[in-house]
Amino acid sequence: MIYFENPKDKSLNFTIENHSLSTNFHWEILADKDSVTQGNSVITNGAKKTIPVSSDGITNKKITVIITSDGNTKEIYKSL
Amino acid sequence: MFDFIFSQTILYLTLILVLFVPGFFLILGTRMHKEFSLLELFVLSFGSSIALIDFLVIILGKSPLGITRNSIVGGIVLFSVICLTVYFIFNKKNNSEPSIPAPAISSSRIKKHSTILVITLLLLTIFIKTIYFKDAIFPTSTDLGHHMYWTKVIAVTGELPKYEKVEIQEDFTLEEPSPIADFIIGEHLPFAAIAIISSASVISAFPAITLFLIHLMSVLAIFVLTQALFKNSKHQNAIATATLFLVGPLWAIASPQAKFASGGVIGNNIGNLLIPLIILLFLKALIEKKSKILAYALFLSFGLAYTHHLSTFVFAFIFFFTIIAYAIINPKTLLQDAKGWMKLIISPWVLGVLTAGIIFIFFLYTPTYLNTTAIDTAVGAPSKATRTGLTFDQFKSTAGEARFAFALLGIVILFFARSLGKYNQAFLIGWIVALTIMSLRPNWLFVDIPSNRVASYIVFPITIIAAYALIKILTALKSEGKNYLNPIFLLATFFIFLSFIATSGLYDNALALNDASSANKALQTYNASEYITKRSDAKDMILKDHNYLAGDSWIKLFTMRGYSYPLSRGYFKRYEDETKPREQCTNFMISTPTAKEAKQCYDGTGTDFIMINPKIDSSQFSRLKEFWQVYSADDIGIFYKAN
Repeated sequence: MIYFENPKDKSLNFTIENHSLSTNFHWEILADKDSVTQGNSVITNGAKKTIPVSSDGITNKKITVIITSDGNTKEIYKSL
Repeated sequence: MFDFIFSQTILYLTLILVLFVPGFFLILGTRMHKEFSLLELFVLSFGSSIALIDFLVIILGKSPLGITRNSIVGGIVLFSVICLTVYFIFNKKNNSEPSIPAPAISSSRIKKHSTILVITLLLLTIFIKTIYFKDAIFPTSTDLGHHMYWTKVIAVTGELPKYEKVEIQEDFTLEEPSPIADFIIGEHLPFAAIAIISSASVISAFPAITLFLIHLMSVLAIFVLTQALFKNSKHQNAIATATLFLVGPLWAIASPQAKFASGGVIGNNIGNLLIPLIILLFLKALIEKKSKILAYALFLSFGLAYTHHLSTFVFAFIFFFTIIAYAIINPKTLLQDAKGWMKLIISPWVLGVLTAGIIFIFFLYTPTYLNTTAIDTAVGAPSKATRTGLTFDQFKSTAGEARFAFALLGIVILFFARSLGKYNQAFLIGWIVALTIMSLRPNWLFVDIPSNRVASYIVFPITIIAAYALIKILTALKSEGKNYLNPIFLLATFFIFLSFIATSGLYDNALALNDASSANKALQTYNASEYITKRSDAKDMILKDHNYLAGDSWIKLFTMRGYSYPLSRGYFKRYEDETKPREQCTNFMISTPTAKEAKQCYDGTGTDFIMINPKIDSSQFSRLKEFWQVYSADDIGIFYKAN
């Protein structure tokens, strides 16, 4: 599962919690449809990792965080 | 590992302390232990403990002591010490007085092979039900979630709960809390006592384990009741064993059996234990003319009244029809017998219990359902299609076809039975007739309750009468010294009956087994609940969906902000029920969030978090700028309404 650390404000820090057998997670951040940044994380089963993301200078855009692991994709988003 | 073993040991010791000790000492202190067999004592101790814990915790809740581990344990210990002291005093007194020959005590002497058969059946029963429970032990069921919320309220606050809900008004705002009549305190107090003493979390297996234990006890209760009902029959043990066969391993899972336990139908579950015990006590009291046992029956009846309104209502009808059956069967001795009943009633024990019960109800704690609104909803012409009575086929299916077939024969044989005992016969007939009419023709009795719930109570009397018929047929075919059938045909008949019954019962078990556990999905809901509880406060309002989320009724055990928090989109058919119009906000806010009414609902209720199944309900939110998806798992997603 993935979630924003603070769901109510404009901060974009998010956490990946792994409850599956896959350990490799690829994440990508989009501003509207443009890719802003991406990365990879190795998270063992039962563990979680918080990835800090700065929202400075981002306005009037839909920020989407897409996580891919072993063919499964999840996304969360905020409209700043 | 050690922590787990320790916590489990504490839990099981707590179960013994709460669910066995007080009842055992009550029987000891009132010196009634000699009136019952060991098995009856065992089951009665259990049932009595449930009632005693209810009354004890209510007293603690009304006192300055509050409901804490020390006060509950202290209360149980004090009560047990008092009973033990009384027992020793009277024991000493009796030893110093010239001994009066004790009356012949009924004790079931089961032969060795019968004992082995009974034990085998019990083990098979536990085995089959455990197979079902292995996939149903994880706390997910809706009813259990609702009940455990109140249990947690008691455990956390140390006070008796105020059963209240909040609903959405016509102007789309939330109304002030209003009372709920459907929750009865006895459904929560024993669980709260166990949770408080053992520190076990209510969001765990312990509630289901406790309900499973209560359910097993109810099977034993039916067994001991059958022995008592057929005490005068030379086939007493065979009938009781056959009853155990028909109610234990067969039809073991479908309602009202194991499914009621895993489904968290707490009141019904406890009612299914207490009703046979109360009948057993009334039977014994009337046959043996003992006012003390009658007082005990009344005490357990009060316990039932504090536990489950429907079971109390059903028992009242059973009692009423038993009196009618008795009057029809024994018209000549009715007046004389009535005088004998009055003698029993007007006795210190009975009047003492009645007085204590009335004082408790009117001055200490009145069960929530004893108000005109609740009574109006249960009494009257059936208001919905689901309350107009079952069809014959539905009734047959509820009873189990094979059991139903033998029970039909059994009722006929019962009417003409002469040596069973007048009270035994009256109770059996009254029990079955009351429930048959309540299930098939509730309008005759002005009963306005879901008929399938009422019909679930028919299982136990049908089982007993079916067992009676089965044994009567087999023993009639092979009377003493005469074989009406060739022994080989007799054996074949026996196996045909056995196959018919076993196939029917085991097939029912197979149908009722779950394909897969919903534990994984429920676990996702609980993780999401922890997330949202940490990141929201009382100013936020959450709306969740009941249709497509697993374990959603347990979300409120995480937030603990009220029974009606979070708001819930219920089953869709309820929004279309013309007999019971309800608010539409919870439906609009999820189904059509852009509609004008939905926006009014969002503004009026202050809803800003939505919990839904993303596979079903995310598309209507993902297009909207004001909704952020802040949490994403396989089977649950959370949206936040940013503006």
